[in-house]
Amino acid sequence: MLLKDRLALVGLIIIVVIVTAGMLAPRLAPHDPLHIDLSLRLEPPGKQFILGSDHLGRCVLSRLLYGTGVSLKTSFLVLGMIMTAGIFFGTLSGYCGGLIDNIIISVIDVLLAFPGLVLALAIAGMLGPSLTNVMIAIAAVHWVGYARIIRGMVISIKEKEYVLAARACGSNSLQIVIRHILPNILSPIIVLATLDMGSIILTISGLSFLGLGAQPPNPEWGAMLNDGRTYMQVAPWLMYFPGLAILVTVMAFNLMGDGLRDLFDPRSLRRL
Amino acid sequence: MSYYIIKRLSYLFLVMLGVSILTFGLSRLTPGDPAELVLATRGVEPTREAISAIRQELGLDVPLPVQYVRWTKKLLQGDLGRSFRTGQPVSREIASRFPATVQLTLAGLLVMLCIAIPTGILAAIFKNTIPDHCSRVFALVGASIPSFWLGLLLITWFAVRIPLFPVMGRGTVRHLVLPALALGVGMSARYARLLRASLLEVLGQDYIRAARARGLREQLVILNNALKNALLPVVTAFGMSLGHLLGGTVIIETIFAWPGVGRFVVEAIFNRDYPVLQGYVLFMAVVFVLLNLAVDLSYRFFDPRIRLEGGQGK
Amino acid sequence: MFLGLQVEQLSTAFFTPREQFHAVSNVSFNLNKGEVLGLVGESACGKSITALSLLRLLPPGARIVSGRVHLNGTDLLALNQHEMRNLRGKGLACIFQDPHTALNPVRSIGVQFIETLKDRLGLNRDEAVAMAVNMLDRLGLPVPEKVMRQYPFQLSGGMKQRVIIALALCLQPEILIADEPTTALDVTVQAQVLWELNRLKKELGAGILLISHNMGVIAGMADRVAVMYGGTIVESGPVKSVFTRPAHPYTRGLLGSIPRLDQKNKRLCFIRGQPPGLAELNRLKEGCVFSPRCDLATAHCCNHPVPSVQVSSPGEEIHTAACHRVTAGGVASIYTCCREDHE
Repeated sequence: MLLKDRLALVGLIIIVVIVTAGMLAPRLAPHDPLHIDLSLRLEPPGKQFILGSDHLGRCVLSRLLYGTGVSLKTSFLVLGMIMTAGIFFGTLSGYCGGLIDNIIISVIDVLLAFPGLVLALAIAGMLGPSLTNVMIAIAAVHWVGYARIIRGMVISIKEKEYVLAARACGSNSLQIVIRHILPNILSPIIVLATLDMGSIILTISGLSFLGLGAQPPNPEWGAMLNDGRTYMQVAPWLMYFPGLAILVTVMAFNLMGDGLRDLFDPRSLRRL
Repeated sequence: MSYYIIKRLSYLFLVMLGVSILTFGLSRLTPGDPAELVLATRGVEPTREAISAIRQELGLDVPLPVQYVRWTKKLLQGDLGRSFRTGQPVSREIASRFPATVQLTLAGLLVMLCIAIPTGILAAIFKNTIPDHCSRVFALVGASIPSFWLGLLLITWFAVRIPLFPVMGRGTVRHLVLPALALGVGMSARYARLLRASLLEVLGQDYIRAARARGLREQLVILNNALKNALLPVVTAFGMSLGHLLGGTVIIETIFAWPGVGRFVVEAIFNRDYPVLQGYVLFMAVVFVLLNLAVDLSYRFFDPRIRLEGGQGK
Repeated sequence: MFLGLQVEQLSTAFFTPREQFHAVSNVSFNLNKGEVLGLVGESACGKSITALSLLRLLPPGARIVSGRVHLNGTDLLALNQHEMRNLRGKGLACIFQDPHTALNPVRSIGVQFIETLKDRLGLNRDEAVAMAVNMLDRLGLPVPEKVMRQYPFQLSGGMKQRVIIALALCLQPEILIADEPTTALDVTVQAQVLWELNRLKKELGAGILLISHNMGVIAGMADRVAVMYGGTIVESGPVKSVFTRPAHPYTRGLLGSIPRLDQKNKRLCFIRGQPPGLAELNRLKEGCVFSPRCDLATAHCCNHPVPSVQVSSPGEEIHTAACHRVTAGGVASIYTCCREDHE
């Protein structure tokens, strides 16, 4: 097994561990993540709280565990939205061509004219601070990249012999798209999505860190960092652990994404 | 070449048209009635008369297309509206803070280049040996570390524990070091790997072997012959991630209390100062589009095949 | 001391973590100054790897395993990196196969000349330009000053190859390796480039190792020829002798597969099968590498080390063939040419 594959496997294992931890958070967490006890505020890591407590006396470990669920769930949801929109508009535009294609491609071009994070920030800002709005904002900005790639792939597949043959045999467009086109674009798209997962997690936590995403007392990693910022000199653990959690999670997805990409090695994906 | 520029400019015009429509539409995303909001910020009782008066004042009483045309007209005169909070023209507010953001971005860029280029070269030369493995680990961590966390770590370590640099604010060059690092390090990871891959490809080319067969010194082979060619794809990719850099400043400015556009807009979001937000987005889009154009042109400058043939750029 | 290039028992292999594949095995030849030695064989028979081994510019994964390479008595394989670099270009220069890729596409011809001449000859800019223009002019490039300002993509293949030759000759190499210098060129340009090479051999007195798969080119240019197959030299001798009295079945096959106008009704002969890949060469190590494709091969050929048989009569220039079936002096006695066989 190559080093790259081994690293990808390590990534996968970390992801499985994190996902399990997130799902089992209610059982694993030693404390209620929302339970406030001001008499136990800013306790350093120790017997009482393994990873210490925050400024409201809440258990950092428990909050991190619950935060796993929040981060992963939102990221997967965003990814779902992005892929749905990307596949829908990309296929529509690539397959139909003509006016529809022109309209969709202009929308894509316009959206790509904005720096991604800035537009997401603006949409989230206009909608008002909330985790849902952040998710909408990120999805609204991100789908265009997918749509553009998928459009390109669909256009090239559309001309392949087997598609032409299917059409000659009387398959209608929907059948062709579902049976011949989607299966072919799915695997590269999954690789892309894995590679993107890390950056989506980073964006969500970044916007939450700014206070736009998860609102207190919801335990989200970026928001936890924001809460802990004020106390970072007296209680550095409030800063170390959530950041580490983000780093490890994002790293795991990047490892796996890199491995998957090498497995498929479509050189075109490398440019993204 | 000039044909190409004309084509680019007309495309630019279309994109800017779309950008303006989108930005205009963005302001309609706000929950609630903007008129009520303005009244609230001014501390006026939202009576029916007051609302309709303010609607007229803001031009909200006419159909949307008309509103858009009016808005665009003002826009072309450089009028982005006035901040709800300060009452100052948004354009002036942004312009006064923009130099700080530019300074930070350039410093971040410098950090990125200073790390990425040597790391990329070393990793390529010492492929699959210790320097390469180190750069691989660095790239992985760099691509995965949240910039805001890195910023906080830098503050704790190099401003608080070992007070080498000021914690926040802007002023001397020393103020610039930590935010520039926080901004540049993450990006440099990506570019170091990109440069490595690109350099390895170039180093396998015949003309490199030919240069070596001429007995050219290895420094000349790499710096003069390989690097320029290897930078071409990197420059292209760089154009694409300018957006990250521009967006990245928002978070870094907030952490380091850097008095730039980014921090200003985050404040504006929490003050529900929508004209500022709208102006910011539009402004950034224009900057981004122009920068991309510049990157594109520089690509042509780099590659004589495109420059002299006047052919289609990539 | 022998003046020129002396290669003895050179072996080069590609290394993978598990195995090594010999691309060049036990290659020996001498190349005097002022002489042209043709190295001929099918593609992928180890010609280019031999050239790269001499320059010590092998691709990653390949290494010289054994052998000795001497240039004017200096052992090239014993030099350190720095000394070797100093020698490249001046002692031992190389012109590579494809002129379209051998010049840096994003730098002008002038810049590439100036860089090389500054670095290697310590000239200043003006001297370098003067020398480059002079050399380009000697190679028959019209308006050398203009060529200096141009980029490779603005030149034709033949012009590029002449630029490359000029670049190599500025350093006045003692030995020039020309690896398929005309293969990528149009036929009309090929002759021109060869003519230039020939002239330069006479003017500069450099030894040329001319690598080619084209028997015609070799016949026209070379003084002596070495025929390479499967990483080994199977036959070598004076051009005239090898072409008129080929001894090794492979050489005969090569010569037999050239269409000839004066023998219209004869059927072209071909060598059946394909040249062995690196993995196959490993299996053929024991005996003759050509045996699987040879019409004359016996069981003995496949698993016994091949002897080197002297074909030339005493007093003649040495002509040898590495074959079990060739006997000294009696070249054609063992078989009749395949041309007649197939009729």
